[in-house]
Amino acid sequence: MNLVRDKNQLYEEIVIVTSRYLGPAADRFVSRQCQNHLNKRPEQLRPKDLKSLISWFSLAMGLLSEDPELVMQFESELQELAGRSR
Amino acid sequence: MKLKSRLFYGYILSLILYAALVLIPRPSPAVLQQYRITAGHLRLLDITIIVVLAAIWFAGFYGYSKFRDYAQMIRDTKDGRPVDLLAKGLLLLVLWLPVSSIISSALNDLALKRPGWVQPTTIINHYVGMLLPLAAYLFISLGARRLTRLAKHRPSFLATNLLSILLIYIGVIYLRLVATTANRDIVYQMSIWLVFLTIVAPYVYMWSIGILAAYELFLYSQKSPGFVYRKSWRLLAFGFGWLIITSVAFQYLTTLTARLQHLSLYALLLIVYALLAVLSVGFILIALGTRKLQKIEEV
Repeated sequence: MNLVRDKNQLYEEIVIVTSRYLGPAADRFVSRQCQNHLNKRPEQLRPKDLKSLISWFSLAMGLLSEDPELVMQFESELQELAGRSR
Repeated sequence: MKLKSRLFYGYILSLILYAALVLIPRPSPAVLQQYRITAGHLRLLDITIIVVLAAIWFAGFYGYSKFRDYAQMIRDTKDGRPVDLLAKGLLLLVLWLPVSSIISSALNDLALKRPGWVQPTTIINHYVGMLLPLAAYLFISLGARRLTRLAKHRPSFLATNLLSILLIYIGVIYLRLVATTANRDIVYQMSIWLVFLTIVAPYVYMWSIGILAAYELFLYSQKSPGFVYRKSWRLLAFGFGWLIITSVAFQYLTTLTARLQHLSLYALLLIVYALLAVLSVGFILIALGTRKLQKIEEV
């Protein structure tokens, strides 16, 4: 039960970071990236998945924003989260 | 807008119907005499208007189709319901373009053939031109209100007051223009009080809810979380605001119709083209903003 809660918490933390950039669309965005690139449901997300997920997130954010600084900032916030989750 | 969609077929059908209503009836000798042109020349000008309208309607239908697709994408989410209400409002606004043009052409043709029908056809024209946008802005204002509720931000006291002052001036100017319209009886075919109560008042109400909705959408684009998300909503807020400003301009110009009679046909056409081009800007802004929002849901 704790394990499930922890996995959800990781997902929620990613959504919180992403929502600073994508607002209400963040939850849908994160869930879609997990499904499409990791073939995982949000509750199945583990800290080891973060490295691959961050690359996909940065790529996607690069398509959404023409501001490279914004993309880098997003990536560094996710890296920080990955560092905390290890 | 997909080629094999009901929306696209609706667009093509509206265009064919409008073109038929404009081009099939014989040109009125009075119009030919007034502008000193031949029937062939008038037909050529009619075709240019149809082409310009086709482009404007396409901008409207395209903007709506983009927005509807986005609304369907996020249908089951928290922001889905307000966006769906905005889509419904936008649909009514887009439908207003061909519906008012088609009904107006049909009624004008009828009035030319039966002079006794001038009064009812003019009155119907005025109400048709008002009812669809009025319903549209009711939906848009509901959607905008729910979005600001989601972002937990309401217009400030200062902003509400400034908007009220702006609307009072817009309303007073409109009232003055209507009251002093040259040949008012011919333009409206109604008593002054009926015009005030059933045309001026609903228009001012429509503009008030429309301007407030545009401001609330702007507020949502400023206060909702997400840098990228906010930027996309800004274009949408400008688009909706632009459509309301165009509506005010159209109505102000209606009151000046009789004063513009002395202008040459080309000057009149230039005004019509310019207004239609201005209107299409609103739909293009909406399409651009929606494309960005859609992209967020697709990558």
